[in-house]
Amino acid sequence: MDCETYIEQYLSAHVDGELSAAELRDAEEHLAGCAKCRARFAEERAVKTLLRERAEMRRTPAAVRGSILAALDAVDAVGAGPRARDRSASADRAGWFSIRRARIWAPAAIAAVAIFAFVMLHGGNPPEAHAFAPFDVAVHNYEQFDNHFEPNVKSASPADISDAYMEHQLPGFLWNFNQRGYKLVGARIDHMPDGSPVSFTFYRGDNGTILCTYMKSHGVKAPPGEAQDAAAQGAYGAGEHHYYEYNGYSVCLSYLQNGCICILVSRRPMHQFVEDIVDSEP
Amino acid sequence: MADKSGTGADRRKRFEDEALPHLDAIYTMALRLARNPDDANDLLQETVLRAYRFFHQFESGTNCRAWMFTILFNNFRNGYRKASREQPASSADEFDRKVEGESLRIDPAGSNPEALLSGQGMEGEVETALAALSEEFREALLLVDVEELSYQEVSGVLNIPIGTVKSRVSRGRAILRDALTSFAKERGIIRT
Repeated sequence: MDCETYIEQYLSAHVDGELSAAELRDAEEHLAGCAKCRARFAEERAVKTLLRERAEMRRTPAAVRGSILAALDAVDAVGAGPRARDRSASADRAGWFSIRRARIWAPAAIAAVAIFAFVMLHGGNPPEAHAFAPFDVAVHNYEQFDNHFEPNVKSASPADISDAYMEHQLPGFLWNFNQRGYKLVGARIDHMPDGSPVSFTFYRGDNGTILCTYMKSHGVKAPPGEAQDAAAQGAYGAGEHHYYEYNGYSVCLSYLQNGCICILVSRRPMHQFVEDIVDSEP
Repeated sequence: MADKSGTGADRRKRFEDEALPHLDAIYTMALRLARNPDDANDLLQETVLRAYRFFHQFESGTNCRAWMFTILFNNFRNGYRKASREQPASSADEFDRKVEGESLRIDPAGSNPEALLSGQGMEGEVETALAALSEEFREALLLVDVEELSYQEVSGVLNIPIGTVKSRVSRGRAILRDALTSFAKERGIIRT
């Protein structure tokens, strides 16, 4: 390993204890023979220590702490406890329980979830070489929603949507494509045949539309066949987004916390789609 | 596994034991994000109430602080980010002035008076250097170095890939190092 590789790819993670066993061996081997990088390591660690010790820490003002405790008391005081209250309040507010019952899946979506169910049940490969059931769910719903999107959760603000997603144990994070000229249209929560929740967040801009789908990953791995031009762009942070040209759509797969995956779908050409995502990364 | 059991009183007790000890850390980060005490107070309160509401989803044994930060950052991004982005970056002085009288300063050097004395000037240096960093580098560095979260945890908090966490920490720390090196050398913290 040369010094440049060590400093650019290993140093920070080394100081942070984030190297794998093999990487750590390589790093230590390099340091053993390189006084310059040993000094650089000491500096990096000193900066980290300095930050930990000297960055400001503020104590919550007593009045603020008091008002928070009072707000918790108020939550506790309502009905039979916060969970029961939240369920009924959210149902009243969003109306999604009744809408969910009335939800009629489009034929395409039914076919897609059937494929998904097949994969889930059989745990094997998708039935076609290039078919990937979670993409089918996202793409078929995108086709439908691009014509008409009807939210079934309260979508007055991103915070409302985030609440609804978290109530279904989906990520509370929402993509914000404002800077790329897309407005948030609204959100839906539906359910897969196995009962697991799936959310759809729809964005519309002058140049097109984007659908963001969250669902449980069920352990699925990113399929092969990633778009070459996306990888070739070497987009910042693109390493763990997986881009695909899929049945004429641009698709991006990423893994989120809580065992969920995020699938973004658009008709935008791949290079523009990648820019939309990279520029909007939080 | 999320705890589905427990009465309201149990839940409140668990929340106070596990989540509320992180209040000051969340408040400090809320101040850094919102950049003024009123918005920070709102952001903090909203974050704590959401955390309480969704506390049944918190997995015991995982890092509660990281979980609270996830809610904080989601709240901030969903509601506050646009407004705060339109403001110029605040300096360390501004940070101090804005929160003056609002909160008590915690001795950053613990109970060591010598470190405390020599730390008076350093606080300004570190905060100034931090304030000069772009938002994305600052957030990643604070979560890793000050809050001592793992890259994996930061990836969850900020909803960015681990590789992005790694590159933001690396680049942010390199910028910070350049800003602090001369000062640190003067103090003999970094050997030349």
